[in-house]
Amino acid sequence: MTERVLEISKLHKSYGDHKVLNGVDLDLNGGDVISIIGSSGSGKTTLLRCVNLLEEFQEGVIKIDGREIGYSNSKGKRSKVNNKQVTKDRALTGMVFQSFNLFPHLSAAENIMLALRKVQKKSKKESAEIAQHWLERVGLPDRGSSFPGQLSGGQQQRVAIARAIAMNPKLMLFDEVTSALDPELINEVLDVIKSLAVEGMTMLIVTHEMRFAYEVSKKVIFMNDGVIAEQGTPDEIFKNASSERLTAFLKNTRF
Amino acid sequence: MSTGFFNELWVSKMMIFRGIYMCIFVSFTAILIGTIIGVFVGLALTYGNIFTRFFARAYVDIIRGIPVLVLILTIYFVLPVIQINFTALQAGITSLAIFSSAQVAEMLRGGLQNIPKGQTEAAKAVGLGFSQTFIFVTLPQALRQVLPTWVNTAVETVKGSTLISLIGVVEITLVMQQIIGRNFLTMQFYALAGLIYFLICYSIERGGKYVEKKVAIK
Amino acid sequence: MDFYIDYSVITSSLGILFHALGIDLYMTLFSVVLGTLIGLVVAFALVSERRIFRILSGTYVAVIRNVPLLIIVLFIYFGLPDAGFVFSEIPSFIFALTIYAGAYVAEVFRGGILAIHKGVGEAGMAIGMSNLQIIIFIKIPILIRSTMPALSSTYISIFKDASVAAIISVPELTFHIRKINLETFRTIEAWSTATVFYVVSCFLIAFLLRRVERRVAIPK
Repeated sequence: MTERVLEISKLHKSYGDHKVLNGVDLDLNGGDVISIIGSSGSGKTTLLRCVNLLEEFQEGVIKIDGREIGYSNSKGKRSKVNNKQVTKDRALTGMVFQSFNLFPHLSAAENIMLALRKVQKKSKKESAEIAQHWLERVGLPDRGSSFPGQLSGGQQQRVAIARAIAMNPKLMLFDEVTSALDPELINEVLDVIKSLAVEGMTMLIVTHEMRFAYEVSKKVIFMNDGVIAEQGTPDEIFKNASSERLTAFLKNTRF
Repeated sequence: MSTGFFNELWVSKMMIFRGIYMCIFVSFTAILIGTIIGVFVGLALTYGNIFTRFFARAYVDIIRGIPVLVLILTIYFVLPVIQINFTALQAGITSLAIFSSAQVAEMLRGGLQNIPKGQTEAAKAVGLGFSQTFIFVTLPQALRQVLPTWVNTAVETVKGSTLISLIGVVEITLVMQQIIGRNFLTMQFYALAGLIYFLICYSIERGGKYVEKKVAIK
Repeated sequence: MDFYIDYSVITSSLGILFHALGIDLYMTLFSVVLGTLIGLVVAFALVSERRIFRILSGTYVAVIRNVPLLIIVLFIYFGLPDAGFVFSEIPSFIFALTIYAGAYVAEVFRGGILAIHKGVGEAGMAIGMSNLQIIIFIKIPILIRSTMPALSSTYISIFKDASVAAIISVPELTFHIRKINLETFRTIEAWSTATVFYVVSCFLIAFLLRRVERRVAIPK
């Protein structure tokens, strides 16, 4: 499992005059887990949203399995691909959001089944089996018929993870998935992500949980002002921080 | 449109102006009276004892449960039977006032009850009495809240005033019917009626939005 | 003057009155169903990113909401035949009431769409759903559930507005009550009956709609 899954090169993104990403390069091999840390406004969430094509970006290339997504370049002319292709490209990655974003009118199982049926055109029976499988996997085997409003934040986030991963993506994106949770519910979500890492899922994780980043990642990236300011193994980043900025950042976060 | 329309329009301009005046007079009076009655009924709904609450509730629910047209016809036909001799104009204004009073009462109750309990508790805590709390804390907040709905009621009342043409009040709708009866320019003059009502109602709506912004709590 | 109360003219025509009420309900149902479909489309146009959609739908809603129903009815029933469109009373009235309902429903739905959390649509995108799929399977179901209380009161208003059909001689309830009043001079009996019919009908419709509301409410 060493094939290149994700390749980001020279990514630039701005809102008007405000530069959010200023030339980001990042590679992920199959089975890699990379965590991105940094203060808010450093561009880490935007980077993740670009990979999921929820944001447009002005320059740079994102490739998944060696193929460019979201844009096409022919004879030096860069253009957006059509909506249908965007939808297809987006399905290559699974995204879990800070605010869960479960569909409030559907039960936990139906949340997982919806895209399986409507996007992947699987039968109801097969979708239900896949949903049940992933509900068990995230530790909620008997909550399939509960609605989001009836679940705790931690349970909702686990359903959201199940919903994303059930689509069988090449790469999972986690965007500060524990930031909206009460402290006592954080671990149940992190444990699910850890177990996925152990199984070899390729993951890109934006997080404020430093201990978790230290334990789960193969590589940690520190972003600052829209660029990757430092990167290395967890030990290099957390134990032997060299730059002033990283030291200052780590001093202000709990470990 | 033919030149005939503009000729007819010129000939009937005074009739139309009188119709517009009548529409505005009727609506304004009805909203004014309706708001005064509605405030009392609304207060009864919110703060009254069980009996006043019951009667206020029955009044509001019955009025809100019947169409404006039925209300107008009922008032117009029933009043003479019980020896109250109102002109058509008076009967029309009365029915529209009753209509708007029920709307005002219900919105005021909603507005007053929507104010968080903490507000009245805080007012009591600093030593304000019941009426002081009401005048200085509850009411100013409730009024801001009900303003959009009140403007809506005003628009509904203007629109409802078309129906008093049925009992013979010569307002815009009836004026147009008289004009059309003479020249048969049906589409043109009904379209003109629509335009006039649109201008009146839209101005009320815009005016309401403006005031809303002015008094908004930042 | 001595008057006495005599409801026999009412009791002897109860069958006709219920039939007339049926016509009101029939016209309401038609207009509400069609108006809701129109309102749904218009509401998405109102919040569209395309300016032209916003302008067209915004004009429709602003014009219809600020013109009295009676004028719309008179324009359609008496005016349109001049332009070669002739409909009989009930279809013209349903046409008018549908256009009218569409604007009010659109306004209710517009508020509902804006209240849907943005992340829910993004979550749909993230799992590979197309814009159309997101609207059909996620936004509309949430929308209908969340706006059901406001929709209910709009529907009840539309039912009451159906009485305006009396003016173009549709033989519905208000028309018949007025007829009984003019033919028998049993004024109090006639209009008290109208009040009871309308108040009870509104109450029953509200009751039914509240049951629907509870059924479709998003579980908490």
